[in-house]
Amino acid sequence: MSHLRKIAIAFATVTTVLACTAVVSDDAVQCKSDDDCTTRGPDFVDTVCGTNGLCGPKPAPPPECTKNSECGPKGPGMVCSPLQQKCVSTSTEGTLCSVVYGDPLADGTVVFGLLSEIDRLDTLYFRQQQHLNAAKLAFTEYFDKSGATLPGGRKAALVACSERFPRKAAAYLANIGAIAVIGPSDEARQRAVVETLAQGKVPSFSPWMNGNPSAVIPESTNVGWIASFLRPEVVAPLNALVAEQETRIRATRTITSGIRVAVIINTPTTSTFNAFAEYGDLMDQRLVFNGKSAVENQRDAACGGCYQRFGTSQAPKDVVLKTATDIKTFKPDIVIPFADIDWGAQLLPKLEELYAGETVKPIYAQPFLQIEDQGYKFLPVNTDDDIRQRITGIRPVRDNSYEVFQNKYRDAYRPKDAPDKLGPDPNPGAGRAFETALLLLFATHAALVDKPTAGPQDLVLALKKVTDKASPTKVTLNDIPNGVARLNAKESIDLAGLFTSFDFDTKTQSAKAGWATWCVTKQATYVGGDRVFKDGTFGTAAYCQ
Amino acid sequence: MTSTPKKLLAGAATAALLAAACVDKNPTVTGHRPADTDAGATLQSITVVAAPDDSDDDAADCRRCGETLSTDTARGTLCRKNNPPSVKLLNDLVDCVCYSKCIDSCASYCSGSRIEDSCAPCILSSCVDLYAACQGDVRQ
Repeated sequence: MSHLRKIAIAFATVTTVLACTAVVSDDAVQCKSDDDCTTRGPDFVDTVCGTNGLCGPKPAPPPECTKNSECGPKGPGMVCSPLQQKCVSTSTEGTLCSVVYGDPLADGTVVFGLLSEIDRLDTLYFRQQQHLNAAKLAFTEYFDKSGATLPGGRKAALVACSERFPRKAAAYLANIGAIAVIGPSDEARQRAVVETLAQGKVPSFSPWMNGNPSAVIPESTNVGWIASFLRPEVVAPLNALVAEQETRIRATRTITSGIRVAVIINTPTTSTFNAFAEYGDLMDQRLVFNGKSAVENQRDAACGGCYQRFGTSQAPKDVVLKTATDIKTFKPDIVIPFADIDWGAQLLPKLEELYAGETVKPIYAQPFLQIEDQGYKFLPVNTDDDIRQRITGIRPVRDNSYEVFQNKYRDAYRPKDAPDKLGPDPNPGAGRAFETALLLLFATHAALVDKPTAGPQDLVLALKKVTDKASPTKVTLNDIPNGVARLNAKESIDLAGLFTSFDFDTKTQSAKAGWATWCVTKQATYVGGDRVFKDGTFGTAAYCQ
Repeated sequence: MTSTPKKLLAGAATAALLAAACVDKNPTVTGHRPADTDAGATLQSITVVAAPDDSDDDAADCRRCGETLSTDTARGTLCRKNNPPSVKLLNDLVDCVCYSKCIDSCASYCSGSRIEDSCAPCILSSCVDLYAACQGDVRQ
């Protein structure tokens, strides 16, 4: 190597080292005091000068408390928040929250939250107070009736809040250390709740909605869960049902250019969130009959526009009459209602009244979603075979667990002034609250078996352990002690709810449903479940009798 | 100087510049922080902060209790800010009818379906005061 070359290499080396030292110097000594660190720039906020002369993260202060009893001296109602690691007040003043089960002040208590319209100033209190009652019933069944305790002898408390101020209530629940929250019930409030709970990674499980508005925010991962199916799942089984009915119609009616389908979508007159609206779009684009989509049918002049969507909501009689008349004028072979309770209370009976003198009447293909419509039962199904044969639908597969739950609920909530009488029938929303509360209790149990300090995201991880479809241990609301025993033995279980098998899809964070057809009987009960949707079909077609 | 040493010197200078260029622009960032935390994010304690909720004001078209008794009227959100609140009047009535006095007589009505023949007599005999209060709550 020449002299010059050696000089050049040496120069390059020295220059490089100098440059690097100047820019990324690991100073031998960065600081002598904490002030030296903080003056180094914004990246050194909350750093302190270590004994090695380097700036490092400020060490976490020791937790103010590790258990609730340590917070007693701080005042009444204080608990040790696992999230904040300090004593916080559980005072519910100004929160629209209340303790509805257990004692959150006791050491080791695992706190659960519930958000729904449960305050007397909430519009849907009349219906959703049952959400609270049913969740409480799940806790009673788990701890008091079944004698279960959480690992380590820990107990549970349920704190329920009105969701009228969703962010405030969600923050309250997270800060007092709720491990998970059941709710909210209003889809328009779900994103606000999830955004708030996400700060503490506290999961929200909403059993009463079929959409997940929070899914658009990355922070909702493992936080915003829907303990039910999502709306698009309804399309495939409904198409299978419509295909069966199309075959039947073509065989029994004179169809020249195509069958005609009317879809009825709940369309409230007030500016509230409409959970049914998405179904309208789904039907337009993805409902299939006559070998083409609904919108293609609508544009098909050859069959005179074989598809039409109608709006409905509870309304004065003259409005209902006009809607029913418009539908009849359209001459639908099949009517598919995605509607609230006013369908059965108003529009359905009016339609049947208008069709009374006709020989060709529509078939109703009803998807039962959250509320089983009572209206069909009020038609003369006990005497009129034709009506029963024209009513059918789909619903999530279930066994008789809901009926078992109904009996437990009626027994638990007897009128205070007439305890010898049974209480009211619970609505399906109550059933969903019950099954979701059970799910969270089992998941918490499983998480605590593996990790005594389990927190909110450990509960999420434990979902797989309590909804393991490969597990030989199938657990229903009647098998709580067995389920607890299997979890204590570090085995997995397969928990089945009342309406869902909790077949969670971790990508959509929702519980996919199985679907079956149903018919109405002469005794005005809805029966079904034998014909389960699989691979795009319900199998051999069978029609209601 | 030959061309080769010139090239070498030029190359060395370029390497030095590249070395300078390849590191962070901010010379104060010297890297002693744990890779998985942000500076200052070392406290494990988390306080969840609530952003402001939407207004709780009544909608202009909110319903009075008397407008909700029939299932033949448009549904809507009940007024909450009037005195007494329309929503409370209805919920008190519902508690009496559906959860206490007329559970069996009004099972259909309480499920949101049609009112059965047995329901009205029960309401009028057992929850009449609450019914009257609700019925009297109408927009003036």
